[in-house]
Amino acid sequence: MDFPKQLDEFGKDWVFENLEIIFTIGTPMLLTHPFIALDSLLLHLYAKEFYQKNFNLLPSNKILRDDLFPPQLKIPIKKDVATGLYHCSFSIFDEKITLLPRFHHIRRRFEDRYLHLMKKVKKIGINKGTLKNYDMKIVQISPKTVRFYCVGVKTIIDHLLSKLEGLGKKVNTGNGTILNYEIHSCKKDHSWVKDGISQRPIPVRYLMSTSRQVPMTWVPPYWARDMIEVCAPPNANITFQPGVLCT
Amino acid sequence: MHLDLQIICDGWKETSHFRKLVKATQQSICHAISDPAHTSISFSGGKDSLVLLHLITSIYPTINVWHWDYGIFMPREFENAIMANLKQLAPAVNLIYDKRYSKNPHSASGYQGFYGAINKYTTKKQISLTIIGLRKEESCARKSRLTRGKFEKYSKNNTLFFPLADWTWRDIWSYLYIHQISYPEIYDLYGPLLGWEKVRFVTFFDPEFEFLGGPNLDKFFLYEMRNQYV
Repeated sequence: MDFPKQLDEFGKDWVFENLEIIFTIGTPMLLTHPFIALDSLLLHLYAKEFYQKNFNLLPSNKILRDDLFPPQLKIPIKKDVATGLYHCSFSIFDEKITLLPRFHHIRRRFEDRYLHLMKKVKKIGINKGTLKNYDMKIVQISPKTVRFYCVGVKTIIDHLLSKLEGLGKKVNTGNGTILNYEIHSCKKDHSWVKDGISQRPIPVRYLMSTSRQVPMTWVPPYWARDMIEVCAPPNANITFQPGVLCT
Repeated sequence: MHLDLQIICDGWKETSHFRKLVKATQQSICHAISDPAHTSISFSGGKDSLVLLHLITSIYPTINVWHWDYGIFMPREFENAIMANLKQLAPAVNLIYDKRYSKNPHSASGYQGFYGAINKYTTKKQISLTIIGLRKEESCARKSRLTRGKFEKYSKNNTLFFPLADWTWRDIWSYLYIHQISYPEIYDLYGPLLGWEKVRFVTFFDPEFEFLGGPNLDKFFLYEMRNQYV
């Protein structure tokens, strides 16, 4: 992707449209959270393309919010000015599949066949350090499709998603492989709410009523704990306050 | 109780092995407790603790019960359920409630903090016998520890006693089933997935158990409770 030199012009010619993105998944997915966020996924892909080789040199101990990014790193998704929420949903899996999770084990054991590669030491610690042994359980689900809704620029999203190999954790070992994806235009914006049911975490202060309240992060990066607020989680029945933009 | 587990318990409770084990445990408890005023049960709220509490309070209803609240590693819903179960099962016990106050998950490990706290409490209250519901079946380390005997000298004046050392998961669940003892609901969620023999009730979102993937499961199934303490 070509990033323009004149920063003021970047993103001005973007035309947002209501989109539905459907991924077809080939292999089981590993997850540590019941949802995947599209905005953080696109932000990751965009940053990877923007920084290229320097992407891996970014500080890992600092929280980089999107307002601290360079202007070119604006993701092609509409951001609501009043609330600061991106117009994009969390993942929607096949209904029956999510009720039947299984466990996958990620294991590492020290093997003595590698001993000759190491310096002569009296003891090898397997409870900490680089040779730490583990047997981690991780949730495995097998959805056929994963669906997202967003308001964004179709061509750029298409370009970014073409570089995505899989969804979920441990993609490099063949989990959550994407067979193909489709991007459809749709009439209505379902990125925040669909049929009265929330599609992403929305802070309670923007809502008139909600069936559930959960403290959650509502802006990317979702792992950061400094922006946790009481929100209506995905799949809650909600009604917006008058004046909050929602179509 | 889950239907699969009910079928197992229905068959297991009729075995002579189970009946003899319960009798033998009751007898060993009677022999071990000579001074109930200076004896304490360590009660976590899990299935083993519930069985232990029921076995002992049927003989000594006013015994000391020490409960350690894991603080940020125990969601409040579960902690309230533990206390409700305790009140229902043994209303007359002398409850001593202790809590981990730190909100920093890395300040001291949640589970290891338990052993420091129990030592403080037993020294302060001059407890001579502490009863804990550890079982050989739970891990290799516990098996090797409990094979040495059901009694263990813990400090100068305190001895640990493990009456459930020989109990298996079938014995524990059958005992709960026969006596209709209510247990934390989280067992019904994790039991069918992890296996009824492996499911445990310790801490949640605890970085100490990251190498076993415990927080991975909690973050997925209990994501609503993840940020309770922020």
